[in-house]
Amino acid sequence: MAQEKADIDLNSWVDEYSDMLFNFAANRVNDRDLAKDLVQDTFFSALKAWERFEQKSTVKTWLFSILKRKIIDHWRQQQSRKTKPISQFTTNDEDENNWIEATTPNSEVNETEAFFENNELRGALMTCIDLLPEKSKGIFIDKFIDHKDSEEICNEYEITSSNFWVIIHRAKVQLKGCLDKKWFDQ
Amino acid sequence: MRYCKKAVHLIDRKDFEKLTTWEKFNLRLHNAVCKRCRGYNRFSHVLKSLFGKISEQEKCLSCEEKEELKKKLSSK
Repeated sequence: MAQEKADIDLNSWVDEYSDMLFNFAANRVNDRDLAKDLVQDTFFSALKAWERFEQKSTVKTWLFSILKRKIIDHWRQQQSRKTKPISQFTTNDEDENNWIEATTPNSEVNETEAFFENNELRGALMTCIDLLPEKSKGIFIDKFIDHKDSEEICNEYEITSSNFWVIIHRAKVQLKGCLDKKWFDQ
Repeated sequence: MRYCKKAVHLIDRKDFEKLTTWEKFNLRLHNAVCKRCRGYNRFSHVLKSLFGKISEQEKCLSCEEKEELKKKLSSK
């Protein structure tokens, strides 16, 4: 086994996995150069950890798990760079249990959405996701970040479809509460 | 309140599954009169757009970029 692992062919890794990894990263960070860096870092980390890789999963799965951690770390780091206030997305007269209400006119919706779709908010969300109970966190990440099928997640966690939706809903409620405190109240 | 529970379930599902016309209609009707569900709908949309933006177009590295990557990896 150790002998096989020593014969790792880096060129074939790049040929076989780089496009898949890059596509996955580029779709999540919306930045070609950053996605390239993340893929490169993934390969470097894999090289370093190769001796410890127990081959319980395929190389592809292993590389993707490394890349996902790197993307999540990237999103987390964005939070520390948060600079823009987004108080305009909440209304002062609503009680704190209310959901974020869209208060902008239609002409500003695109701008609003573009603003929301930024890495800083993702970073704040990742911090909030970390605070979810383990099971909810796993299910939420599987669904929203890994885009797994609901059925696949239900099988993996041995839960029913209705349990699955209850967990997703509760996770979203918790995230909303967390974002209110950690982001919107700032 | 009971109807809000149903509406919230539809909102959760609609980000990942296609709702029936009847479900869409009911949800729109409910959201038109329920501020909380409308807000939840928006929050769900934000979450989905932050994490669920998957492009239809496959993105690939160019041959040059792959060669560059191979060089960098082999130099380690």
